[in-house]
Amino acid sequence: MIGRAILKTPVSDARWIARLGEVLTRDYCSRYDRYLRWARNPLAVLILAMIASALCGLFLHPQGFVVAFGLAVVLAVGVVWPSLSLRGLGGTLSFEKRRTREGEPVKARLSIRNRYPWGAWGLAVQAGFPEGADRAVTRGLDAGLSHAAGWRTTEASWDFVPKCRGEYPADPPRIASGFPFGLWTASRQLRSGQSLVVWPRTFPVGPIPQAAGGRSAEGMAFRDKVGNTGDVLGVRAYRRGDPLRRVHWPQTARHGELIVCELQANSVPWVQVVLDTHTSSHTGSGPQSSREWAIRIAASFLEEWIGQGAEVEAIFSGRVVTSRERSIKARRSRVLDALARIGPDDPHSLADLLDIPACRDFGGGLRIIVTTDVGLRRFAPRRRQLVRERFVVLRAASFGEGLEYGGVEPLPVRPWILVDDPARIPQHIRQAWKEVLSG
Amino acid sequence: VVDEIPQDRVIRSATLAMTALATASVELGIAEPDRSKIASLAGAAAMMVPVLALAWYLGRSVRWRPNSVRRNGEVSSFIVVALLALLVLPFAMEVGRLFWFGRGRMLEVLLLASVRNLGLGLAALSHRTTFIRLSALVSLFLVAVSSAMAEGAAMIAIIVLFAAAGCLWLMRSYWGALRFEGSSGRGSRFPVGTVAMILAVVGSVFAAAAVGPTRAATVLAGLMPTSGGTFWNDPDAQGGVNDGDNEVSGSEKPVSVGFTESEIYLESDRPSLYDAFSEQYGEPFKRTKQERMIALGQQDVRGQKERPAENLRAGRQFPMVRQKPTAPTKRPGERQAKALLYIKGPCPLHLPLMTYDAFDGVDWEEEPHTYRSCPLEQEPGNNWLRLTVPRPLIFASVVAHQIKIGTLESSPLPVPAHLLRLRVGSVNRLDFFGWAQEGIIQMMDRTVPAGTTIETEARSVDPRCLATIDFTSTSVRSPECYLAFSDRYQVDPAVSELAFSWTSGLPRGWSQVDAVVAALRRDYAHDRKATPPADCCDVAGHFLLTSRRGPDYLFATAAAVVLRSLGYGTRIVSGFYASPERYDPGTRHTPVLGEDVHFWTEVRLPGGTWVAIEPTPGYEVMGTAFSWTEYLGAIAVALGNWIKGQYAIFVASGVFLAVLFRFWRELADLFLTFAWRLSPRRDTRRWLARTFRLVERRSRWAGHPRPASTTPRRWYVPSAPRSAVDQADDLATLILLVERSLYATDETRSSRGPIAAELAATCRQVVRNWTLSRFRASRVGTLS
Repeated sequence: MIGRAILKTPVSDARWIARLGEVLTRDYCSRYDRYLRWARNPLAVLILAMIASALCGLFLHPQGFVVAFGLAVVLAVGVVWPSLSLRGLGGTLSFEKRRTREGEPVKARLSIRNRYPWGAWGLAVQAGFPEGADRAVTRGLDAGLSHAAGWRTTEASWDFVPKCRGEYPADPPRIASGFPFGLWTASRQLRSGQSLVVWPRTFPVGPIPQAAGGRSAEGMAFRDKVGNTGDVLGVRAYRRGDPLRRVHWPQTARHGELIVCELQANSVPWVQVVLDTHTSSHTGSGPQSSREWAIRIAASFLEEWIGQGAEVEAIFSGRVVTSRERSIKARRSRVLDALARIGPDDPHSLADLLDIPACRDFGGGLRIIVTTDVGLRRFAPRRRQLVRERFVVLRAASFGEGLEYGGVEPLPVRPWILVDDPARIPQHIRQAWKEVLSG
Repeated sequence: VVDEIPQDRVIRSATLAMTALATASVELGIAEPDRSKIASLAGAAAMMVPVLALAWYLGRSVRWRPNSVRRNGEVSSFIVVALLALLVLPFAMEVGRLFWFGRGRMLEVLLLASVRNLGLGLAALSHRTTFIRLSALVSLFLVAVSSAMAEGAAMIAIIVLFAAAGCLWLMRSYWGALRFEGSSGRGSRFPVGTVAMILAVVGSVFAAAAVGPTRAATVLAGLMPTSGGTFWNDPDAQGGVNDGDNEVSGSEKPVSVGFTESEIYLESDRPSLYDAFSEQYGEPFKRTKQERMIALGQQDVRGQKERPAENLRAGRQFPMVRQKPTAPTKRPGERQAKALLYIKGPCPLHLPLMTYDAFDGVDWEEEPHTYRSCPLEQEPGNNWLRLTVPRPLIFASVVAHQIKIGTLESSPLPVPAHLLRLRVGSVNRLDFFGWAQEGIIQMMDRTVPAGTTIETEARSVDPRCLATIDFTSTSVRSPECYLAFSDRYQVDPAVSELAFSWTSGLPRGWSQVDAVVAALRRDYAHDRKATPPADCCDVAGHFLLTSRRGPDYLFATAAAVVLRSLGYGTRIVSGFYASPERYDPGTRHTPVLGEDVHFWTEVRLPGGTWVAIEPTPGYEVMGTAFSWTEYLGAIAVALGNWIKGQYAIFVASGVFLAVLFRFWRELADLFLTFAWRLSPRRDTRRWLARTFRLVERRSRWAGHPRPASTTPRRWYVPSAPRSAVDQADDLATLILLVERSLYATDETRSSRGPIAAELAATCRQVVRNWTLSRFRASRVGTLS
């Protein structure tokens, strides 16, 4: 069983050899593997070898005791040495910056102080990820330190490229060592200096749709808006739907086509982004899961439209995060920090989210709902007055490992943007947006 | 825990070495008895050659065509089938062997051979991580099993080397799995020195366990499930080397006979002490006695039906004049005779069996039997019998022995002198024991049965206490029989003179006894064949004055005669001497053979206690046993005395060490500055670097070590206002020069010209200005 765990599927050779190889390497008792996982640990192997040697010494020849004794010494050194070498260690793990984004390197700084005269070798920083965290995510912050000399302070730094948004380190980081044999890993807790908030990766999404409307207010954003109020900003070619009252006739006569006056008014677009992070709505794991991509898409809308002066409201996990009356940088940080800190579990379904007061009372703006087709299955659309809803739907089957795409099921709503290719999401959003505009 | 073993040349080499050692151990383990070890090792080497060649070829082909390596974890079916074929090959060959020779090999041999083949195959594929791990696992199993199937220096060497290779394998695997990134002190260099130290520790522990003074295997053999043991036994045991319940039950149905603690005694024809005397010292000359026949009347004859037991007869003699002993003849192939006794416990050990007090110049007369019962009392709850005799203050700690009667037939118990308590199997009848002679316990009316185990605890004599005993008091004079000789013998005046010359200048007491013993051991030679002539009437005088060589009984006689002439009560004792040289680590016992029969002398102390002295060269009296507290006390006293004798040196050393401890940085700085001044200045760049290293070291010793992640400029050149830190200008200049020199062209390396002179001046200025004390007082590093 253990051997089978190592020897995986044989590849093509002569047919009968391949068949024989398959028969020989098939795991016939795979359900017992989880009970034998301990046997892959070198410590367990050496303990078993020591017992076997002692039995040989008992029943065959006393010389077996020599091997058993030697193995016991190796085990003792392998267990005691790491514990002793780590006894005097303490230190701090900090980051150069307070915030960064997924995929952007940030300098991680480790300062280790050894209070004891003996040195410690083969140290590994375990950067405080909870048990069972995705290895692909945690690997970046784990680092090795070859030596921490006795009675010294050793400093090290390395580039940490976060693969996934979040707040690092999640748990207090630890310094660990299994030197010399790697049989037993002793660890000590490090102090955590400045933590790192990793924002989700964002991409350009374009201008705010006209449907977002706007409130006449003393806002920061000036919008080119055709209407009856405001100051004349300039002229432009007529578009279908422009009122004839704004036609600038002299210019029309000069150019031979309809030219309208464009008025500029102080107004603030109002957007509400509802993000469905319910666990059962999503598939896949780690940074490429549909949940993470949904967060990235929502973050992209929020960040870019905050930058364009919109008043946005992010709703997820039963929380409402608003960004108003501050500088654009502060509003952006507030929203992205909140998105970065979204936890792994969320009991709120899309219907629950749309039922909270902030959603019920929303009116006059644009609501973007980011969810998956799985999340929409339990969603019954209701006609809401004065709310323009746009659905960004991720096809969940495209993000799950080993999930078969079971055909196109009819969705209860017509999606604004449908994402079904995880490899080209930024392009997909941008392209879909243009298509909508042109349509 | 190592999850992933990296592809590492050292790991691969260690894997191949482990496989080679495992193969060698298997070859030694399964070799036929008549096969030499060299042939076995050569066979292992022959097997490794194709494996190494294949491993080399596969490793190279992978390097040339990296795309040919399949994804980790996938194994070609061809490899699986080939490994299976290697596994079953020995069994297939066994079928042929049975068919051809009609004789097969044992199943465990076949199993080991097939696993060995598997290990060899896996080692050949060691360019793959998966196979490295499996190969190491298989070789560990092979060594663990085959080490119990063969013994000898070669196997021990293999075990030690395997331990070293295995440790290296584990360490490299762990090190390779660590991810070293960025700047981290000394980088990711493998700590060769530390690893060498660990390997040395583990290797030496292995070596100590395997070949040390007390072999671990021998000591741990006490855990073997035998037919009996001190604390436990195993009913399924197939053999027995210890003592215990099962041997007692075995003697009820005596399929085999071993040592027993039961009272079921079997009679057999076994040698007695006298047989041992005759074998060892030669037969005594039979003196022809002229007897006159006198006719007795019928009324004077009284019939006696029972024949008196020979061994219980008193008044026997030991003639000093004997024939030369003949060397025992052994037929070829005859095995060594069984031992008379087996001793478990510290040796050397004297086991007195008979004492002699009267001497007539030629024969020693056995001391009369007292037939008194011993002052024994049984300890409650067990079978230990404790002697309740008064003890003088000459003894140190207690020494425990276990004495197993082999083939000896003797009524006196072969137990050490100064017995404190004893246990003879489960015998708890006090009337079974009595004094044979003073200090010699015997079994009354019977001999000690073979196979009896006697456990004893005796006190060891402390020589320091002996030196304090007062021999001058007339009230404690020894009985006459231990001081005088028979009427027919007068001590030769020359012998008396010799005795006085040996002890002249020494006060009466144990120091004189020691002097006599020392003189005999120093000036006389032990020679078993140098027996006195048959017509000699004064063997002691002949030995002391003429021959000056002889067997041990002459040494004992000479010591007794000389000491009696000086007024000390003496007797000679015959018995056995358990020599530490005979210690058998396999059985953890010291056998006592017939050749170990021995004579020595005992001196009577004023209180009536007999103390053994050993005048024969080559024999030693058992050393003094101390408890660990006494040992620690003695060590402390000796250390104190030694320190007291070296007072001045210690004070000077202490002061020196204190100064060194307090000012080691200053002294080291002095030395390094001196070395800097002597260093060559041809290469400007190197000289600048050397100067900067000196500055760095001073800064570190002053408590401002520059972190590896901080540049020198940032650390040493403060960013504070210039007026506040103008003293740092020369240091800033040096750092500027160092930085420039790193990127300078070769021309600037010249030691000539105005630039070089300026550099030299700057360096000198920095070294002169930035002393250790200035670094301490400065705020280097704090302003950066």
